[in-house]
Amino acid sequence: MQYIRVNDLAFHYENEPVLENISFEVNPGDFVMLTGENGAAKTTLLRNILGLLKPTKGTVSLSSKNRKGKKLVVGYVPQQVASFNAGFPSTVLELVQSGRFQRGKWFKKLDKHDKEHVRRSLESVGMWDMRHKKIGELSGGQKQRISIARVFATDPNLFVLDEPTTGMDVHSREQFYQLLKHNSEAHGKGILMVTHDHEELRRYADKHIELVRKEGSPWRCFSMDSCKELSKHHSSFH
Amino acid sequence: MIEQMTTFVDALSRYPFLQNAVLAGVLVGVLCGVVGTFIILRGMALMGEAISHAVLPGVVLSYILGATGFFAGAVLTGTIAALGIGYITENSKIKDDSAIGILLTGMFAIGIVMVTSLGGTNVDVWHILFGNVLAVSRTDLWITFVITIVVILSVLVFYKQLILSTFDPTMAKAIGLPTKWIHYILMIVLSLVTVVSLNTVGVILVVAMLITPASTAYLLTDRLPIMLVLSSTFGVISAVVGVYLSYIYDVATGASIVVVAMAIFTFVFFFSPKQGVAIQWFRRLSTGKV
Repeated sequence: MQYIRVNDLAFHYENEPVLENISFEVNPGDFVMLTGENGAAKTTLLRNILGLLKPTKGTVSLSSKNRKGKKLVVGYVPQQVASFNAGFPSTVLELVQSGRFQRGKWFKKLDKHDKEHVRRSLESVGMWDMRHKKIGELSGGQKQRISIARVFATDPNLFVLDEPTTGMDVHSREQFYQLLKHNSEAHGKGILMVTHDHEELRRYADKHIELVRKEGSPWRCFSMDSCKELSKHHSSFH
Repeated sequence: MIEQMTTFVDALSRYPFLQNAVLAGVLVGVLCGVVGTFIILRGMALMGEAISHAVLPGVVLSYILGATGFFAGAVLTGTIAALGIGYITENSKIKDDSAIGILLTGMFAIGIVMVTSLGGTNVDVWHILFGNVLAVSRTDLWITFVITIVVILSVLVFYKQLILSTFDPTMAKAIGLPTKWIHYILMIVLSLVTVVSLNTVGVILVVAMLITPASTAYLLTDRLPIMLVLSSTFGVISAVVGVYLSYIYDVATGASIVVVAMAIFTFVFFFSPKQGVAIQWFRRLSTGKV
């Protein structure tokens, strides 16, 4: 089964072709990194996958079930975390708790198990001690960390992450990648992550998809099964 | 002052119209406080203004056709305005605020044209625009009560969906919440709130009841549940004190209510413990930073 299946996707923005010939899959247990230069429409591709934008051509299927046959839970960290409403009257703890709503808690109270998940998620990003802080008082880096904590609190089957490590130091990034790797290997989570740190992430990711283009043409997908083979194929493409 | 209050309490115990006025004010205060909190957190104050004005043609139409379709007419034109604003922004390069401006004034103008073309009818434009809280009937009160309860229960049941779509709309949409539906349901609720507030403050001033108490509460707390309670409390205080001042000094009730809400906001703006402008100035003065 595939969690994400993109088939010959094209996307036009105001009649201008932006993406073309995009095809790839993300399966349970896959750790896929998506790279490309600045302006390579990586976020646009993610938004097509999540249904926030409609492809001009081709199809995107997001599985409705996880590998155990239950409803697929998607965890999303958008690119600009600062774009969330920082003036919203909420504490760090309340915000991260909102990650549990998707776990069948829209109309139920959070139980001990949920609260334990939230605690561990906040601890994993080093924000447990700041749990009572108001979100409006956080720095950009701290907002990024609580956004990641929220996605871990959700415990999704599929992580869709758009440059989640912006503003993180090397040590935090390594920790974060290890945690994701553990989630994909030990728990069969699917991970699709847009990143600029492809040199660092290469050690953890199983697949590398790069958006490339010739001058003046739309971005196309260049998909690899193994990161290690990238440089060889990459040069042959050009 | 004490004599005036005694006069008011005495009148309140004797005159049903005054009891109805105070009760209607209390209900509208609670209702606008709750709905207004979400309106200002979603950055939709201007949208609130547009919807409240856009119900005018529907209200006038209902007056013409008889009171039975009162709510339906108002909700219909309120919803047309909400959909129209969305349609214009999605299908042209016109931005939100311009689309709101066009629909707000356009719908309001249609309402005024309808009223003025009906010279001989009993449509009282002054009451629609500025309210007439002293003419609130028992039926009006019951309708306001039912709508207040339905809105509060809906907010409680869909509290988590509302906060997530308010706090992080992109995330909410990505995980499958029907954010568009939530938006349009909120617009319908806004139309309903405008109609039930019609007698109390009128369509022109209802936006003040939605925005001012909620903004006052926002200056005082960083917790949503507390903000909801404070916003409703300020709404109720404004309504009761407003009706009192209106009775004692014989001034327009709706405007009197809004002036009280504005006075509370002004006081909190300058003197709230954390964010008060004057308090911060005194703090800087005492630490020698001025």
